[in-house]
Amino acid sequence: MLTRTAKTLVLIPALALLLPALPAWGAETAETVLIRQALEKDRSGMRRGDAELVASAMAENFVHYDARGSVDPAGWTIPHEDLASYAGDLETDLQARRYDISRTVTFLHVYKQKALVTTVDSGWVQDRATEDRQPYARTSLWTFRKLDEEWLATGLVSALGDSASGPAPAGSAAPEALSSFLMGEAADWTDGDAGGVLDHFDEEFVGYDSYTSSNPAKLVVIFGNAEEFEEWLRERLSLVDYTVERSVVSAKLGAGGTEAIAITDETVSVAHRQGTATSERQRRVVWTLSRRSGAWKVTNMFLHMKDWK
Amino acid sequence: MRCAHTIPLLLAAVALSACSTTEQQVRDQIAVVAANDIDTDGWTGAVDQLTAIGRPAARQLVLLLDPAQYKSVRYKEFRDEMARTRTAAATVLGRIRHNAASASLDDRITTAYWYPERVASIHAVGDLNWTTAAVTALKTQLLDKDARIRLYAAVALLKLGEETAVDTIRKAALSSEAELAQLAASELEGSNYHGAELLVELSQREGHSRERLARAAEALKEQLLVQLRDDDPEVRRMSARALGAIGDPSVGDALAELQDDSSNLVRFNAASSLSQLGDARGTAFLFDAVGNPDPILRVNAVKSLIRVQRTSATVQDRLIATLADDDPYMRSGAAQVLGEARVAAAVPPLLKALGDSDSQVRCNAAIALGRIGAPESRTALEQLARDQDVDPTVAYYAKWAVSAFGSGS
Repeated sequence: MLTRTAKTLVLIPALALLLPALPAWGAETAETVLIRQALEKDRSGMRRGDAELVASAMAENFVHYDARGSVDPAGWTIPHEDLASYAGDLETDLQARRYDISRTVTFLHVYKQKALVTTVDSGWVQDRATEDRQPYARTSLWTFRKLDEEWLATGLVSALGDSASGPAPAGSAAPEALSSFLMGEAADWTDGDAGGVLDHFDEEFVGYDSYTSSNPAKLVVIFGNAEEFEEWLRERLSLVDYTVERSVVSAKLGAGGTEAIAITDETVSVAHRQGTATSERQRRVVWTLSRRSGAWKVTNMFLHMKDWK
Repeated sequence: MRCAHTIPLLLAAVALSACSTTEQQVRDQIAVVAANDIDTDGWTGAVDQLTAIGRPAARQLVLLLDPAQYKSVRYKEFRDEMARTRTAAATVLGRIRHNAASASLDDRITTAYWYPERVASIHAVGDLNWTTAAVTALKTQLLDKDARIRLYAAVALLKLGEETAVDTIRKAALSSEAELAQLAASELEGSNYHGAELLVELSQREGHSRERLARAAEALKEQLLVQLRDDDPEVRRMSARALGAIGDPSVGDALAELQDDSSNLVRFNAASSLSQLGDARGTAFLFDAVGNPDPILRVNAVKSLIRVQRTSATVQDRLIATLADDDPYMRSGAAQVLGEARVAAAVPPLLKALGDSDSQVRCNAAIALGRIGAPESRTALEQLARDQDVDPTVAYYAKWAVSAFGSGS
């Protein structure tokens, strides 16, 4: 019986074979090797039909979003709101189909205890009953968190499209509670109420800036958790007055209603207290939210996303 | 005993508290530059404050230049805020001559950055130490579509001692596009002593921008005069040197005051400039030094006289006359200068000096004749090379001088 350390030591040289897939911009680190290890567990579990192995790469609060071939989050859905439902459906799927896939890590961005990864899977999927074989090609976006020295996936956006996929059909209107939650957050910015803003965020929330690119590889983690966000926010609100005019464009909830994805369009204006400069910009923000703890909390915030309108 | 432990702890605490206070001051001023449009009073005031803080601000300012640092507490949502802070950071780092920032600044001058950031970074790179990377980055900008960017890069190169882009500056200064010509004059005026010579050259050319260039040269002259009293001897040296190029004899008294400067190099540069201006005080100083027993002073004097002779030829007659001086140091130094400055009129007395009683004078005369390359000196040098001089060094240099003529000459 190999210990976890021994397993890691055995796996690292094997995973090192994947290194050329990582573009030259990223030097491999212990963290990236461990993240690759988690991704390999997922791929290997898919190949072996072992849903348990796949699930071992995922955190308890794992959420699965289905991009349905679109890069526009307006078209994304939440088929699985937790790990149990994902693993359950996966087990059924793996009993029915065999996956013969290889995986390329196309982007890997680690920020402290959080990471963002894109992968491209290719190969074949075969129906076990009919033996019908179909080509398989899938781009995925993963979010990871380091927990007890182990990197675990917290989110998977599967079947991500590329920019050629264009805008998704208009999403559904946000439920009232979710809409007022997001509008309340905007109002707290305008009121300069840092505590009010922070109440809307999960402790482990991650903030990203996409700098208006549709390419997930351009996403940059700007806040690794609520504590970092709070440090920035309190200083920011002591220097700048915000006006946030927000409209909730769309929102989708999972079947259980505990996870959501929402899109807002907003005009953000700031006036500096220590000078005369003002700034204003329109922006699209994509939010993932959860109310596992009772109240809605933001789990991911993607600022300045490309507006596909 | 307890006291002995407490004092270092207290000192460390005071030092830490001072660091933290300075860091906070820098953060406060960065907030002010972010809050004010570039070149407004508020922005300029904060940039001045950061410049006054100086080196202790450098680490935080360098971080502002790196796009990868705009996260967590340094996150900025608005690109114009980034431009304000980066432009300020580049400006201050250039002003405080923080050479360690050079690599970060080199990356900021590409088209990926907004115009004010690029310009501030180009200016700053020109103010820092010469590095291959800086020169390469600036040369790349010489290919930019924007003539102003090309001009900024050319002036920055000039400040780094690279004269490869001087034609870009000339072209801009003499351009029919009035705005560009004005900018060139202004950039040369701002280039301090580095641009003095070129500014004078351009201001003497006919053209619509002549008046503006002359005004710039005048303003630069005033700046250089102030800098003659700078604490930094390098600034005094370069300012004194540039005043020689400006060519205005009215600066003579200010330069003469530097003949008592604590720095050798300042004294010699001031004297050369005086001499270039035809001021006898400078020439006397340099000729006195040629005969000084201190070899360092003699070397400085010879180097200075070479420059004076090359730029103004005001010392030629005296140098030739010095070949007949009683002092062998004087004769030897004069021969060196005449050779390095390629003074053809000095060939007859240099030929005579091949028979000087002092072997050092004979050596320098042979070298000088080799440098000048006058055909009439060949026979004498060949003779000297063949004959066994009491000092074998003389024959060695005579052979060298003959070879310097080239086999076919």
